[in-house]
Amino acid sequence: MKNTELLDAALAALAPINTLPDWQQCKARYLGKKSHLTQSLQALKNLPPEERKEHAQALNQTKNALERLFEEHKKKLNLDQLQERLTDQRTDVTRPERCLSELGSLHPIVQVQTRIRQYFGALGFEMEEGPLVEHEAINFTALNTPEHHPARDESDTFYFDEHHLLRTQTSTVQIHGMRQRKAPMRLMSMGPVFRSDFSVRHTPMFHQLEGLIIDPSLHMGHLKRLLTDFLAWFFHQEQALIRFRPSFFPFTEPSAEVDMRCHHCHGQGCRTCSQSGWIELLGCGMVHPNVLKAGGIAPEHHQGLAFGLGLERLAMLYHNLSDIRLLFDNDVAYLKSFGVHTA
Amino acid sequence: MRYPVSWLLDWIAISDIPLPELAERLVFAGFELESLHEGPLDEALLDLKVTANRGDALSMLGLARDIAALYDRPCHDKLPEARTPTGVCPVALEASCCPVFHAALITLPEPAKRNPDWLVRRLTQAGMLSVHPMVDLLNHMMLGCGQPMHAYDADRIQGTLCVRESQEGELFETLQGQTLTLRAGHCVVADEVGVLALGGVIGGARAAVRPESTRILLEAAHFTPESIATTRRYNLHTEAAFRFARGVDPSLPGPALSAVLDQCQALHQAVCHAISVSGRVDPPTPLLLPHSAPQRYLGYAPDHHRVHTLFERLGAQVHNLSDHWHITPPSHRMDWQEEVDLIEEIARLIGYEHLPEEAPCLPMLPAPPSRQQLHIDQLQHHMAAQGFSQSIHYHFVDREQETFWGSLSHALAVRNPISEDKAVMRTQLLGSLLRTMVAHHNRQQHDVRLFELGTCYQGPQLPPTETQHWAFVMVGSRHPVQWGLPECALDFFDAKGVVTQIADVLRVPVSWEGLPEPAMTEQPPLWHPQHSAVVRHTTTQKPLGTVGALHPHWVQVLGLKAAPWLFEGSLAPWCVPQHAGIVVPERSPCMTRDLALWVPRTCAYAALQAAVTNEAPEWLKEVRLFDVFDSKNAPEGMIGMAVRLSAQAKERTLEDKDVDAMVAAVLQRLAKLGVVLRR
Repeated sequence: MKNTELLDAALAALAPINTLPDWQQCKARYLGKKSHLTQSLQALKNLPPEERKEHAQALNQTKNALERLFEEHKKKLNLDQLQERLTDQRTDVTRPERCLSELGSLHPIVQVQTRIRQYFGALGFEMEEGPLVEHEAINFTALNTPEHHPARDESDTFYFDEHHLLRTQTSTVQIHGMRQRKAPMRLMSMGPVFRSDFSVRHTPMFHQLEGLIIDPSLHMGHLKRLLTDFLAWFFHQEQALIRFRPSFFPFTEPSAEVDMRCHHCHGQGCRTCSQSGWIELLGCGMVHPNVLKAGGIAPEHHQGLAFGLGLERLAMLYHNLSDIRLLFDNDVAYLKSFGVHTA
Repeated sequence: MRYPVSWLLDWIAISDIPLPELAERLVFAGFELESLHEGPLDEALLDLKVTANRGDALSMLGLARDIAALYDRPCHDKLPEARTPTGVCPVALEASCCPVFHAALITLPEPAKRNPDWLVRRLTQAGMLSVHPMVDLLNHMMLGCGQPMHAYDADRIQGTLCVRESQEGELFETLQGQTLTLRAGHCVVADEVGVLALGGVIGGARAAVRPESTRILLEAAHFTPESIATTRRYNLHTEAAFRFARGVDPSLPGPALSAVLDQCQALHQAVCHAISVSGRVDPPTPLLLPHSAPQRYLGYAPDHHRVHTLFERLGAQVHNLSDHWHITPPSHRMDWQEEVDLIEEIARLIGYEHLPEEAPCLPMLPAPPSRQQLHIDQLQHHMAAQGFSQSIHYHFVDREQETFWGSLSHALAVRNPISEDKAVMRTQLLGSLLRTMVAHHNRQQHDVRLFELGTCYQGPQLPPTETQHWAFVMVGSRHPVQWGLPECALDFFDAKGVVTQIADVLRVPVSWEGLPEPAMTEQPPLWHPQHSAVVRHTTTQKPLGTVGALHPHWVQVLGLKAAPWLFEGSLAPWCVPQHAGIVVPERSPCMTRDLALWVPRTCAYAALQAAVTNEAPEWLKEVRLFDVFDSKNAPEGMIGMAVRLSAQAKERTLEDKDVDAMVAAVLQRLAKLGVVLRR
């Protein structure tokens, strides 16, 4: 019949069409004002009424079918075009990204300080600072190290004149802290200290941490627990692999040193730990009564716990570093490898 | 100190204890293990580091006492009684630094007769050199019981011996051949001619024993730690000085001398002609230790009987009273001065593993981070985010650096620096940063961004003023080399951008001005006068720092290819807390107008911006410079600039005529500066 022929013809005409303008042209030919179909529809009014209805129905059916055909083809055309756009400009995702500025870094010692501040800050320790150029009355005498004490011999101190020196330990801040406050108190101080020594494990300037708690009822067991908990957290361990052994400092009595199990040899003995299986980490003890008195605190009413450790030592153990001097060489590539982490 | 096991056995029975176990036990009693040598009896030894408070442990007897207390067994205190004085051998004591002096005069029938092999071997094992048979004998006794002693050739002593204070300028030649000019106040052993020995430290060459010496004067005396301390300046590190500095038992000279005389008689058939004793020592003061003290300090209460036995084994006299112990320290424990010293003995001998690990119960007092610290954290983070690596340099620097870029007259000099390049305390940070940058340059590393926060020291007074500074250096390309972006070197505005970013983060309002004319000085300043600026706090006008290029003179001297960009300022003014200015969002649309202008080169952008914004309606929100270009077509002395004006009114939509009027007014004001619209 004429109508199916029309549909077939339209299908055949559409087949090669793949652009929208061509499609529009084709649609105009079959469905437009001058198309055969439209003219047939218009010619309906010339037909006698009995024939009109039948012809109209057939023509409208054809028109609807054609319109459907064209719409479907258009949809397909759009999809094809979209598809082409998707495959056309494929981005090579493996090319380097745009980088307006490379990421810098925070110094590993600063990162250690931030972690420590987070931990002890949460325990209520006030952060204190003290002068770096000190009087020997504070650096030694107030810390129970009188003139004749052999510990003065061993400290390799830098002097400016007979009395002024670069502090050899952060314990000086204990004295300043105690004098500025009434007991009870919890203090912490971190900062540079200076000793005349230079090797793979020693630099003439390094950083120390000092912690001090003063309260009427403190004992050595508290100190042991405090340090055990801290070290376990710092090294991300369930339980800190440490040992707590007696030692001597002029400003604490009893005194202790804490060793960490050597991470290189797991306690078997190696060069890193001088064959002992342990690495010395920190010193601590109960504040000597003379030091409490020098800080204006009565030893009869209060007890103090104090602990100090080297931050470079901590950083070296945490990051498995072998040469402390690199921390002061400030090579950018080395520094960058530490990133900005403070957790 | 080395403790050969075979020698220790003289003083305490320890053959049943495996050496590693003994070493471990001693470590947990307060000694540090330097090394351990197992093996046959004549080779086995312990090398222990003894802490400065345990002078008493620097001998076989001393360590044996500790082992006795640790293992609850007796030690053989084998020293004989002090001999009674006899004959004539007077020694006058004229100084408090030497409270007691025992002397004995002996003759040797066979001068320099060799000591038996076992004695020489022991000394070698213990790490001491063999010197002279008499000296070796004394050293052997020193290592054995702890009393340092000295031998003089009695034939070279003129007149009577005395112990007195040295006089200023006295000369003294040590037996090591060093001649010292003594200060006043040292403790010296002297005869009528002069100084024979520096008491407790070292003997002199004049009366040193020689192979041919037959008459020997033996000295066993006590010298106080204070008197040893005065001789520190001479750097004489002797075994005797080491022990006296840490405290020797003041009642030891008599028994030690007696033991040595016994040995001289037995081994060398020496004849003793005279013994003298001068001075005396007070017995130790008893201490009271409350029964409640261990619980108070250690957190646990050991068995009373155990505490009693422990102190007895250590040599103390103990009386157990109703609520405390009455403890008389043995004369060798000079480190027992008060209650806490006794507590330490209990703690270390019973064992630190018994300390109860309990969390302390403390009042909940606030300790939030300080605002200053929060500001510092922000500054550090945002510098890192802008590509800078944080450095930490030594606080002591070389003099040259301070001369060039700091202020040498204000830089404190270290009296005993570790090296010449660390001789003075820094007054500024940039010097060290520059040096490190040069080191990178020499390694072909040309893209460097470093920043630092740290203390600077301003002298010359002591103590100096310590101020925290912060500083950065940057050199190289604006961006890392990459496809899609042209390579571009850093310029002033990159450095300005870094500082502005920090100012924004810390909410510090900053304003910028060029450097003043530099003073005519001998050497060029740090900063390039044309490409540097002073940063000021807009409100207080306080200087916040200086930013700019390194002066070309220094670029050349340091051998750099391109001028690095630098900043340094004091940290405190950056860390003042500020309030945020909160902006309420507007609903009305924002309109923009771009103005293309010719601007006289002499006109600073700040002046142009001020002319636009001053007297402008408050709905003129922003003026942004988005283009600057030089052109051949520019009028004489002019440079092309383009600014974008953004206008947004509260609660109403601006009409074109409002904006047009505003722009016309702006152009009128700009005309006064010589700024004209570009056609």
